[in-house]
Amino acid sequence: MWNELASFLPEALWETAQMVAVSSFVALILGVPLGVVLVATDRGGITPSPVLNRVLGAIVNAARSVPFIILMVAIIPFTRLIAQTSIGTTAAMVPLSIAAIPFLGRLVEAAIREVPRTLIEAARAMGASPLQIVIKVLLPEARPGIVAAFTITVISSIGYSAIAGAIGAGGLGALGIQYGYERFDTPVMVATVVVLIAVVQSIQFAGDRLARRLSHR
Amino acid sequence: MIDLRGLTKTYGAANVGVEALRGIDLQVERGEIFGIIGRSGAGKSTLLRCINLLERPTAGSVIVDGVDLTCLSQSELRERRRGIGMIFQHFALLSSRTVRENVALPLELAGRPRAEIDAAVGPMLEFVGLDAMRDRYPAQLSGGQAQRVGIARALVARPNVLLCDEATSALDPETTASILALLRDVNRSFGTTIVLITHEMGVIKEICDRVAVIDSGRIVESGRVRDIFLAPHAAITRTFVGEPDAAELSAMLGAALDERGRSGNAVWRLGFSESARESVVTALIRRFALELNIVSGAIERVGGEPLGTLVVEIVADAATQDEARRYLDSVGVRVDVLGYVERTGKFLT
Repeated sequence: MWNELASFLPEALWETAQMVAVSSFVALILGVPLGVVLVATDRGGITPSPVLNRVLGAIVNAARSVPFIILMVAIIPFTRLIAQTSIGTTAAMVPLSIAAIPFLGRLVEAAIREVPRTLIEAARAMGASPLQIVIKVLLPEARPGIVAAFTITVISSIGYSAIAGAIGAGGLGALGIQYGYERFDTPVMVATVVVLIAVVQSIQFAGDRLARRLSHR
Repeated sequence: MIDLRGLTKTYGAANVGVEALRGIDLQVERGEIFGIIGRSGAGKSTLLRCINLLERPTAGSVIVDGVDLTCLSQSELRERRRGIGMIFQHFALLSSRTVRENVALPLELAGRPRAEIDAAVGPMLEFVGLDAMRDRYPAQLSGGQAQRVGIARALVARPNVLLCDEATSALDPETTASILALLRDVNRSFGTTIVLITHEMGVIKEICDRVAVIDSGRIVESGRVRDIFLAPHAAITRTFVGEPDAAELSAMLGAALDERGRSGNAVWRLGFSESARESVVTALIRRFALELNIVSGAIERVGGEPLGTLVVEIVADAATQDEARRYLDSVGVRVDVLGYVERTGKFLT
């Protein structure tokens, strides 16, 4: 049994790491700009655009209200288009990314809203353009909050990746379900859960530390 | 330097909106320190923000250095704003940037080369006395230091105009005095025209050349600070200069002061500079057949000059009162009649 565990666990951990890393990276690339646009286009924002704001907000809400397991199935054609397959670890990266983008977007939006309005006013008074306000003021000032938001996104992606395991993606989730749950192999299940806890704890710890280091408030 | 004409600002729909400014006309001369004083909600903050168009007026024109800002495109306006510095009540420093990086920001935004920025930031930090703090973050500074950084940042691009939004309201009295001294230094060293808003008369009398009193979106009184101090007219101005109002005067007099009255003992406010102080009371009593009761008085330093105000009750007939007023006028004492009190005796003692 211990041999079995020793061979499965590292592989499962690696698969989870790949899925989470790719989806978190995609979320970072697209979710942060999404959060910026949500703040900037809001009424009273730096470039108000109520229509765009409402449309984006509705899309984000819709994406966030679909349960992940349904989202995975619903976007299979899209997944096939991107990943050339609809099952396995690579395929799971697509719905994981789609779920993480609006999730991070909303969190980044909240982090940017924490930047005091007087800083935006001061930047405008200095002759800053809207893009300069985003790059020179909003993003740097919200950086600790954005790091915290990204940490939460990575951790929630780990949770979602376990659900993806249920429909054929690999990773720690699949290991726990197949061996621990379906085969009543308690040691494997416990080992999987322990590893997951350790991973989540370390990520949260690292995220908190980085956020604190970046914050000069 | 700054010419505001017919400025109105209405928030919300025109028919139900709140009128923050109702027809402001204001001229600020090049190189002067101009104060705008008002209670909170009087519109002074909106007025200040109209000067660099952080608030766009509903109607009227904002002419700074000969250019009407309301007619400019967004990019032209941004260019113009670089010539108008601004400091804030709560400093508005970026917490993610060091002191040096905060001061460099306006030049970075203007796209100046690194070397030029470094060359400008150092002397500016020295000017405000914070060279040693250059690598600190704003959270590590005291309020006074933070405002000095704010001033350095506002001046680093060498603007002609500096707008001060309640710049000392978050500071203790001692720090306030040092920041005001620094602003006067800015005005003298760089010839920067300064417009400041405040709710504290102390700030006005400390550094301003001229003052406008704003109330309910209108300018109710404006002029040289010493003139406003010696003879405040509007009720709100009188409370700002610390003069007792009718109710307080009545309490001090022990009888009701009738502001519109014609008969009884006259209550005058005398306003005079240091030079006239000695002679006023003595001369009045010696020269004229009148009796005089001092109700309240104060000597204040306005722009370094001691100015006195004295509220007195005069017991004399109308002709003597006229003579006395003419005499006071001739020796440079301003006289304003605050009202009359009816008494049974001459004075209540």
